[in-house]
Amino acid sequence: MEISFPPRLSLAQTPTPLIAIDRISEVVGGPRIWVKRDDMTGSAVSGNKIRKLEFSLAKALDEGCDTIITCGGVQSNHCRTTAVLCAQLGLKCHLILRGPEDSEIEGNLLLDRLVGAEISFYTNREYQQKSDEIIQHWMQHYHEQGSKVFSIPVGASDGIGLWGYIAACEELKDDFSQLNIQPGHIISATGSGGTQGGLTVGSELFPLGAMEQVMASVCGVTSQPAKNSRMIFPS
Amino acid sequence: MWGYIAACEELKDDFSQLNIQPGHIISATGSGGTQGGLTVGSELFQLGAKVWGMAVCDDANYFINKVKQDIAQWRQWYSPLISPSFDCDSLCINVIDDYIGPGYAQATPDIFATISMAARLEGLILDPVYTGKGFHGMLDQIRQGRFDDTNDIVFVHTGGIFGLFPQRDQLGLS
Repeated sequence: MEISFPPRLSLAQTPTPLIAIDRISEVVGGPRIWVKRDDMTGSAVSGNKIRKLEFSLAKALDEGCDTIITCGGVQSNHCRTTAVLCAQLGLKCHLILRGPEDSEIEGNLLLDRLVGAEISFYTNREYQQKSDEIIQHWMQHYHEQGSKVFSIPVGASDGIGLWGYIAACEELKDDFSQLNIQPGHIISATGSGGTQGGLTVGSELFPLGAMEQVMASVCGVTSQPAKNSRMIFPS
Repeated sequence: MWGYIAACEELKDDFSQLNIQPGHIISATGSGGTQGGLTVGSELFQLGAKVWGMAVCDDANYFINKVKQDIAQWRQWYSPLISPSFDCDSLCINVIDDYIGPGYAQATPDIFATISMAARLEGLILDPVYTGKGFHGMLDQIRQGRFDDTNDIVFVHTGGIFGLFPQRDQLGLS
């Protein structure tokens, strides 16, 4: 099947390597484990989120937006990636972060601040109960200022962001064919569901012939952390 | 040495694809190897650009000697691979040592200001130990007109962003 993709920015360093970790495979026993090194999609923009943001930010630019609002935990990788990409694209970025205002400025939060993102902190309770209202409030705020604002959900996990890992499956198809392997399973951590969703759809579209499975033993970035200390997403 | 000799082959393709002809290539210089490789590679692949190292610790004389030594050793170890006509002695080794600040891994407030500006305007993350000093030095020299003889200038970002995190207090973010 011919897949037509929506508009996309070229931001990530792809294709990323697919590497066999044979020493660990040997220690564990069982199938040969390969790692798709999506930690190598960039430096300060390292990780999975940039694949999704290639599509989300393309849509924002197409719509003529100059300001991006997104949300996540205080150490959100998604928010950090969005903030750095916005700086690279000359867009204003406003992060709605779940956590205390006096959070230690380190890691992702340090980079958010360094690249000049606007940051508003909200408590767990505020964030869980009113996140839609909070985002609406800030969108209205920028609208009144004459800015054109685009909102990206947590983890860029929505119908647009899904394209990121659908596209990654096209890459995996090439990887598998070049390496002459036929993996039976693809596994990733799942936090906001968008990577899993894209892999699930893409694996079928391209077809990778792999049964996509998800390890979700640590799920700290969902909106209801108390319930999610262990949560398995159905595939 | 071979690392940045090979990188020059990549730069040659970059320049040709982007249709640019940079007059200068600049990097931070800390142990001399990147600069040595760029100096040799720029000549071997005929990039037509002058290679500059922004010293991050020792002075210009130290680095000129260090790069010369590395190049001589490269020549000696790999003589079967190198054309006898390639003249190492005529290579120009350019070092600027005005931006070292108090010392290795110690940066001045204006270097932190440059790091902050690069992050905000371009999402380009520099570190206070190497790239921040090198990049700051390049901008200052551009402002002083040193590189007015070219339309394009290339900064080689040599990485090291993890060195930024221990120095967050100087970034004025808290």
